[in-house]
Amino acid sequence: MRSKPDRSDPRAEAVGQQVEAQDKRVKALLVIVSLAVVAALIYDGLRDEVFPEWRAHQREYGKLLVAKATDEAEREAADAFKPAVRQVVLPDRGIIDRCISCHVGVDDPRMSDAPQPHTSHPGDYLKWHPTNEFGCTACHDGDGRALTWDDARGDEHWDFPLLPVGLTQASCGRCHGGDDIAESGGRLFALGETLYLTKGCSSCHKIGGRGGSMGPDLDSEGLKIPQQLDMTHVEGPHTVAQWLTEHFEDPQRIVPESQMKQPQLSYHETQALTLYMLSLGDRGLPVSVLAPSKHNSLYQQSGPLNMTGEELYERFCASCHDTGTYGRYDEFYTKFIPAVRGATYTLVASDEYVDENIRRGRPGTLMPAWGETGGGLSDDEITRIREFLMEPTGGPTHDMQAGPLAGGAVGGLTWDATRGAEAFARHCAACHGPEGSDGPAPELSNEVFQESASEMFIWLTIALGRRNTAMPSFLAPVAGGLSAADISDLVAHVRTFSPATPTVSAIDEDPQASLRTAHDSRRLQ
Amino acid sequence: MGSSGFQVLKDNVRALPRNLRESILGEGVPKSDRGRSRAVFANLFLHIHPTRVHARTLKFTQTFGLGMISAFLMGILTLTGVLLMVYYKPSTALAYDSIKDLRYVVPAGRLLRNVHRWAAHLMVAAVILHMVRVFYAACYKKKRAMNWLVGVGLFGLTLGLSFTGYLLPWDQLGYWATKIGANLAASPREVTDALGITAIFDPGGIMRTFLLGATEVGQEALTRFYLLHVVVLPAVLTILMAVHFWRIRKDGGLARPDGPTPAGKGAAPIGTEPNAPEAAPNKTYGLMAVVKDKTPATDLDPADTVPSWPYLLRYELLLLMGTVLLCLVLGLLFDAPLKNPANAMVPENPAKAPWYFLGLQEIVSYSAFMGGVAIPTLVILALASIPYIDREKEDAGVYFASKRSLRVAIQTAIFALVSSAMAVGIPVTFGWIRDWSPDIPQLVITLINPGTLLVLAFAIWSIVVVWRTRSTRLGAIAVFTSYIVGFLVLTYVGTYLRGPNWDFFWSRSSWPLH
Repeated sequence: MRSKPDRSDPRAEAVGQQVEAQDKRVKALLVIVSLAVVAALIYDGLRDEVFPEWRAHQREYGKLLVAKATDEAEREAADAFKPAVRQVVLPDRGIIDRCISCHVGVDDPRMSDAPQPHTSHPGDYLKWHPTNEFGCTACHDGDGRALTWDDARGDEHWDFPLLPVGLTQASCGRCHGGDDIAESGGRLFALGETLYLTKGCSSCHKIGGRGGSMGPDLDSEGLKIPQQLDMTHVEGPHTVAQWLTEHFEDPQRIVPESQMKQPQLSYHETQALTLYMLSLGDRGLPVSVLAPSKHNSLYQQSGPLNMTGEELYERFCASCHDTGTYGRYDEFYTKFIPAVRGATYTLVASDEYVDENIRRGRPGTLMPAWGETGGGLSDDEITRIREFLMEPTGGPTHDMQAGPLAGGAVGGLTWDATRGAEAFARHCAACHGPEGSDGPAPELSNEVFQESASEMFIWLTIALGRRNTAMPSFLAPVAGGLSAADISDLVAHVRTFSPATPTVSAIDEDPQASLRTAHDSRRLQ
Repeated sequence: MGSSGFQVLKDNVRALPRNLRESILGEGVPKSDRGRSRAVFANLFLHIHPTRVHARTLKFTQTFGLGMISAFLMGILTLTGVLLMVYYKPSTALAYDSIKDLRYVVPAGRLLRNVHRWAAHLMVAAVILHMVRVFYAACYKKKRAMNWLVGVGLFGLTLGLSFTGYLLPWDQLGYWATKIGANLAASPREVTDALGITAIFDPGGIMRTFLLGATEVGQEALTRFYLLHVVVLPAVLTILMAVHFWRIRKDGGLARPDGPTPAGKGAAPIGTEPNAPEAAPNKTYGLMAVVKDKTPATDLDPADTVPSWPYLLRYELLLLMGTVLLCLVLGLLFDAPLKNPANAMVPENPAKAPWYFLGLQEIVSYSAFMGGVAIPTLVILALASIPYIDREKEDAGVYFASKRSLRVAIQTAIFALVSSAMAVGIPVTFGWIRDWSPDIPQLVITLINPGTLLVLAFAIWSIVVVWRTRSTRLGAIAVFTSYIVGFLVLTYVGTYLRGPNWDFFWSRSSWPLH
């Protein structure tokens, strides 16, 4: 192949030699590089097409089939077994699951004692959920299209990684309510649902538009992906499940600024609540695949609640107000929680006052609004709660009349806000805050309080105090106590906290008479 | 008559294989230099080569094969790209799953995608290096200016192809990189907003709508990017590539110094043999007669040329196989990334563009308009204008033909290294105007930010170089070197030292966990 330049030209000869020498190296390199290219292609073919993970598993499975064959038909089937990619395709559910390419024996009961991945599915789950109708990822999550164990787990770069074995029941809740599966394989899920409803979670969290507003809505909690959560303080693997579990164990460790109280759960209950959280969210499943109990559960989440006032109170109110019969000091929030079933409260509060305060809550405080646009309770449901609050709780009521009020201290009320300010600073500011806010006791500057509380309500509350709470009775004829006039001045001052009605017009009414009327009809009108 | 007619038919049928072969291959594999030259000339696929090629251009260090490698990468990308199109479905609902299927079940699909991805990255790198090579060897002078322009266009198209391909898997990586791109397209609003004229004149909004077909990244954007990626940009790039090659031939082959080539080490230095009458060409090649100006054959040094076939063709074949091997090995060792499915509700943090845009993203963090529109435009214009500003005669095809040019390049590199590091380091250490005076109008930061100041510093430096050396070539070296070094430094910072919220981190391991 040598070029033949003019032999008479010595420089051409030199160039020719130089190029020739390079061409030799090029030829050698070309052979090496070409062989390397072929080798690389063969390597890829061997790795991905000839010896993929699933083929090895199916070869072993074939041997298992032969070993386990007991009659002629089974021996024939074992011989006919050919390695192939196996998959479940469910177009309407967006499912293409190739898991059965390695878990070939998942629905073969003979494989119950075979090792993974050949073993058959535990329990009778597949009896109700045949693989060819449900696929695998419908319950287990993970990347169903994958053909290797590492890819299938979907630990990285996949929105819904394989659920850990203990948490698979989370997927039960995608199609079932807790009722009908509690006894048939969905026990942990049913427990989680019950825990959510009975542990007072609804006091702060909404599902289906119903619940408090202090915490985030949980409707789509199970759709969260790891990248949406701050995993900085999670000690275990960085999965949503692990985040939830550790968060239930100690909310402030995972989210330092969290306002959530530790829910006080056993390990078992923590798992149950975690998997209930993972079950929440609309995965876009066709309505036709949802079990009746799921429809029921969805309806119960947002439809009218067929519950008594007491049951409603237990679900939505009790986690803060507890029994409601005493004034609780909450160390976590450093606030006094009013005794909403206390005798003195139910005596002085009108129905309208109670309804209004439940419906609108106390904006800016721990007490959320519970009306249709807030916590999602209907007026009817709020009425039922109020009726429960107003039921006698057994404490003495009539001795109040015989108590401080009986001194006949009423008369010549002045309603002087300036004088009231001094008394407020001396008697009230320590708990209620100098401006009627930011103290541990209920916020007096709150708009809903100011708009719903009548002067008489405030006067009587100061005078009588709230039995079984930190709020003492201030009307005392003894030295150092407040007179009726002092209290009316205080009421006038409390009114100045409201931007809407900063002053009161003097009320020429005898509180004692009002109370007596109220007591007669059991309530102040 | 009948039998002789039958005989002719029989003979022709018998000769059919030979005639067929001859009609296609001509006289078969040519045995002589002359035959091979004729084959190169007559064959559509080979005639892009000259029949004879100057020995100098066969030296590896002369070109490092970068132009050919870029072209081969384009070939690899076209081939793998077409095969990927067999399975890829350009719809937001199906795209991601089709990539998963390619990855998991399509025979060799994983390798195809990996090679496509790596070839794309390598092509950007090869094109940049090719440009660097051509610049420092001063191969853009005079009539080659036009081809330099075509090259700048090819560079832009390469970036465009890479960027449009980024979105197609419809995963988080591509989605948020495209989101950045869309924000850059809309960034002229930074200026129009400040002037209060966005309502009547909104080039940013128009550009974004043109790019996305909507205000958000969605199906319309995917369709557009797909069309750009598989039809429009490859077509334009192929045409420009043909022009690029054609111009090389018409401009007299690869640029090289005048005069004969030193044959072997220590031979006569370049330019020692003047236009001596006795060195006048004693051969001509009719094939080249229509080619104006200096050609390999009609110049002083016909003896320095060798036949393209086999020397050049074999050399090119080696480059091709080497390029294929590199792509294959990278593709076998490193899987192309595929993140979570695109999710508009979960922003990637940090959302990073492809690596070659991270230098710009570094500037974008101060001003989207400057980093995303103004400075890139300025840089492209500056690159394109180099051959028109620098008209000095210099030996083409020689790296740093004068000692001065190497010295200026080194000085500029040091200057650019320090100033780029300062452009990153000062704001990281001391903050920037926004931190000192939170109420400052954005327009001020648009005008005065590390990016603009850096470009200004480069410009001043280059003007000083021209002014002191009175050489536009040295000025061009200052401009080009400072851009390249600045690009490298900022790209490094954007790639390795920027974490969530574009905060500065010395290493990836110190990122806050998410």
